[in-house]
Amino acid sequence: MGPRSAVEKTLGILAVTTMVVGSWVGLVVVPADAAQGNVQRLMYVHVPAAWLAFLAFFIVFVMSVLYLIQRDPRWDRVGASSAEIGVVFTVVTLLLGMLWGKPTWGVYWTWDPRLTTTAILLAIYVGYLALRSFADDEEKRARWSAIVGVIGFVNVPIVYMSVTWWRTLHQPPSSPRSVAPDILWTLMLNLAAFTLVYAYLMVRRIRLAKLEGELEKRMAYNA
Amino acid sequence: MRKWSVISVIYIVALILLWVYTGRAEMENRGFVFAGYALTWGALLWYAFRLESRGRATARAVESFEVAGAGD
Repeated sequence: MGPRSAVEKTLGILAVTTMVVGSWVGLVVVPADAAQGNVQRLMYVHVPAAWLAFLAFFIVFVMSVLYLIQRDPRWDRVGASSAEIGVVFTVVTLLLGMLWGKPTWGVYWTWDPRLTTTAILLAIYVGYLALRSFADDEEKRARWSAIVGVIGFVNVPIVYMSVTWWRTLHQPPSSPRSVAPDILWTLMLNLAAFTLVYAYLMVRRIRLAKLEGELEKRMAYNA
Repeated sequence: MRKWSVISVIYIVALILLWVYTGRAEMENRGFVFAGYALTWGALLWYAFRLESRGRATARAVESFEVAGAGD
């Protein structure tokens, strides 16, 4: 795929290092939660994965708006790259939630508002990616994706607010005042690690998207 | 591919260490904690691997057009 840039290498090293340190702190250093015990350690990966999924879909939204205004294919490439990574983070979030839910609630899955709206979020962005594979025309694909990217984002605040708007098994959003300092800084460390992983994957995915665009052009030229 | 073989070995060693540590620390719900971290690391490594292999395949396909073009 061509030589990696210094930015990509640095991001890769930083992402791996902070992930290792974040996991070590979350598993070994910080004490177990007084109420939930050790299973609460899943929070240090579950919550950052969910936040990064939200960030990824926010980037899709911004890129979609920019594409609809400027019709620049670069915004489409960045949006599509972010959507794919957002789907990976959403799947991880849902699976981690299920692993945390079983010992805490007694079930892996329940049609709770937070879980249901997150599953809908996943379906929307899997649909976004499926839509891209259906359309052959580059301009049409980018336009349709941008429309889904804007409309689909409506569900993100619904997922976030679901624990406030409806009666739910899921705990309400935590704030720095409601969380012990040890838990808070461990969470922030892991959030930084996941953000670096997202940035690294984005750089790589955008590079792949450029290459895919190049291939598409050559195939069209030779057809 | 050699790089990914090394990464796979490191991942497996990390899982063994995690399993041993959670056992020694006598963590309750050890299996859930283990599965959660194993899944997170595994999913991110798998996606990074997929990006690299897709990139290599796409680059080869682009190059094949260049070679075909040079022969014309």
